[in-house]
Amino acid sequence: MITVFTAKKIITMTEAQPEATAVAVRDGVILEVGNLDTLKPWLEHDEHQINTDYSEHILMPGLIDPHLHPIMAAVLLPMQFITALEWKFPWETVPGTATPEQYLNKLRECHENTPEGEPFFTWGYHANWHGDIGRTVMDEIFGDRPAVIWQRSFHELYLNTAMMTFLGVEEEKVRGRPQIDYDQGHFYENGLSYAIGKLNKIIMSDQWLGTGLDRLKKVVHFGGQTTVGDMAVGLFDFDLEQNAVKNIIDTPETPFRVLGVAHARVMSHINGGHKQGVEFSKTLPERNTNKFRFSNKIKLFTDGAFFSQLAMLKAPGYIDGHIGEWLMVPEDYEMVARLYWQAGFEIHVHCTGDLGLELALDTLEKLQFEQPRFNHNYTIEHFGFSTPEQVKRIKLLGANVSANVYYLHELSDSYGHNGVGFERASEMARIGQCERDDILLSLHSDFPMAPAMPLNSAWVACTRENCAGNVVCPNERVTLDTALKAITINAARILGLEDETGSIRAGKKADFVVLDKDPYEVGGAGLKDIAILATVFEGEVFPIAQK
Amino acid sequence: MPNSAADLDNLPVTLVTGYLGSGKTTFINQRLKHAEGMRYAVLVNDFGELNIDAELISTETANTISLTNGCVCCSLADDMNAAMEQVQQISHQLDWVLFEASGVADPARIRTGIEARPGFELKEFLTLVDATRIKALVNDKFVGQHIRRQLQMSAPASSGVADTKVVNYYTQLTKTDLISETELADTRAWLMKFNSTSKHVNDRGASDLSSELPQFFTRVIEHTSPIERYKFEQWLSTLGQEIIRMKGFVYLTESKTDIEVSAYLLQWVSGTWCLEPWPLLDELTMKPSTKTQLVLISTTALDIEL
Repeated sequence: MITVFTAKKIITMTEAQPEATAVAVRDGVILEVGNLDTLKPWLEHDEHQINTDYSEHILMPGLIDPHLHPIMAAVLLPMQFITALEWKFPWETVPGTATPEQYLNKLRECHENTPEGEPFFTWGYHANWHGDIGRTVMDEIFGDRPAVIWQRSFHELYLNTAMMTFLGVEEEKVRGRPQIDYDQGHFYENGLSYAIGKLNKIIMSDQWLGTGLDRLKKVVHFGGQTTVGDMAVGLFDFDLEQNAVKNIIDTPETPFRVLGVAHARVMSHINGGHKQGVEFSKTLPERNTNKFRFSNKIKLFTDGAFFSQLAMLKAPGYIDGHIGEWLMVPEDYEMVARLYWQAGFEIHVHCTGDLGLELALDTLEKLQFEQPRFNHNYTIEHFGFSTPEQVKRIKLLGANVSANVYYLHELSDSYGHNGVGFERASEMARIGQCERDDILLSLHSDFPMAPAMPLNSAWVACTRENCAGNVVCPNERVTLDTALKAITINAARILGLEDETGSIRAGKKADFVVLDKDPYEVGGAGLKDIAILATVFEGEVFPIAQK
Repeated sequence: MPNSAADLDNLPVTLVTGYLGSGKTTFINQRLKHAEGMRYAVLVNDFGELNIDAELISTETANTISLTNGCVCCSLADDMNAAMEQVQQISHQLDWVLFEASGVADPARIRTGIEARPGFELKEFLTLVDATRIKALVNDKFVGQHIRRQLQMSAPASSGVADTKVVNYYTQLTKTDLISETELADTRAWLMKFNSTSKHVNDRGASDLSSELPQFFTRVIEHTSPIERYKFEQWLSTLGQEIIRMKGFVYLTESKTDIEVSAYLLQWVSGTWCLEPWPLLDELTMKPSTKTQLVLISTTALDIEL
């Protein structure tokens, strides 16, 4: 049985036939894209039905986010979001809560609506909007209910007295420690990791992660995505994650597939050495199912977290003189990258600062000298700070870029003031240069670090508008076409799935997203306001409820 | 002087920093080899490099190796928090922690990490310096900044952290036999410009490390009958600062004629001590015990008796 989807316009993302109005699908695979006339040879040959539900709408290839972290999302999503800015979820739109008074009222309301005896977790608190918070206020609101307030950055949290008692946090052990304020129940940075150690019995429980992954599924669907990359399987616990993700993702009602890329350091660790890690990584595809798979890719890291200003910078560094962090000793990075390179793996390397990027490129240059490879897909992940000269090297060495443009939206303003100054802050995510140099570029969210909404990422890439409403470094904007490719066909190429998805042509999986407006009509600035009506995954329609 | 139990519950920590090849693992291996009863928890990045005698291993998992001499090795594996949590859970079976920082650790950050963590107390800060490479390393494009901080950090004044607790800083040049006398003298003078307050321990060659570094001596003191409390406290007051740590069970009576025996857990750290009431029954045999047994760790060999 053939199903034909008709649309006002089908944007195929192929260069040969960029537009169409009908696409025929059988057993989840595209037979042909064109119009009802051109499809006739297929339709005369087999039984068929015509689905006109979306004939007034726009069809595009299912969107692709090549870099997010399901397990981190699973930890975060069961919490109640109370945030300064609005967050859209399929189950609710969280309105902005922008004053201290509103914030406290919201906490009281949540307390009343939470069943007796159940602990309460919220995420999104930020002092700039919500004023001071602490144990005294929390005890007043929550009484005997254990409660946690997690700060927006994820780097600090507050516990009330009932939660401290529940977790066994003892005053005599904790009082006076750096980065812990016992009186206010405030734990940050290293103090936070102590608190997380205690909280793990809740937030790493099967029940919690189950709820979280279930919500993640809805989030991915809501963003119009039919393929995502889990860009560091093993971040928390390899077996636990793999089983949890597989059990919950690999079910018929999941409308997307996940490509897992294993965390190299974890592979070495659980197998007792780097060489053993490489051998083990080779066997991972044996575990593949249709919706959760591994390939010949591996994830490595150079420098620290962008949100924590731990990116390694070339001169002149950070304004306050602090230095970033290497996540791997540079010599070790080179040694491990060499093992995987020589074993034929495609390396995806997390780089946030320009010095982190320099290490990734110096290493690639050495590896190319020792054992040249074409189509190696060495991919720079995140691409926070860079120099124009480095982008030329990326091109010459044949590497790809998968950029987190949300950095520039959320952080370019504050990093200009408190971080690196305006010149470098406005040039973060130097994607315009990547376009000019014809480098394979994709956009990702790193969810939960940024919303898993590819159209939103593409909007940032096209406009470079930051959260303060300023357009920063307009010369580094990309064209609409490049932005759309970066969330479809080029994202598929970054994941090595371009034979299967990412564009609409005969032979690919029937993965579509249904939009209410044509991106080429609304332009880059209008992308974030396009409504996503449904996705089609391997021929099956998954509608998205509209509010 | 008696104190609250919490202060004494803290496990003392030696933090070892230095770049790859500076001798961190050698140092740790030496300490383990000469543990002499000291029960170490060793936190290392990779225990593949530790030279652990197979006969010494009692149990082994992906993250920990327990040794028959009471020491335990934990792999940091990118997760300092998890490793320290693990150590904390068995802290009552341990005397000291050896913490191997990554070769590119920002020492100030690691130091705060240890100090922020309830249950641990930084006691020693050792920076190992590879004499053959250090001058090139401080100018290295990628690691130069971190290496310079490691050299500066070995001086407390530049740490930026208020030194409320006593931390001993040591810097040691290693692999000195691989460079000439002139180069060595030159390197030593050059090192001084990074810090002047750290104790420079004598330089060591590539093969022998740590004999000049502070050593520990362990002694077990036993006493089979209950002791009068005032006599015991008097004995404690005679002990000198060379005792770093003492721990164990004591059985005391309130006076000479008192027949009622009470059990206590004694904890001693650098002259500060406390006696915590403890159930009289022996945990294993569930029979009353009256045998006092104290494990004492000191910086010099002591010959004291109860």
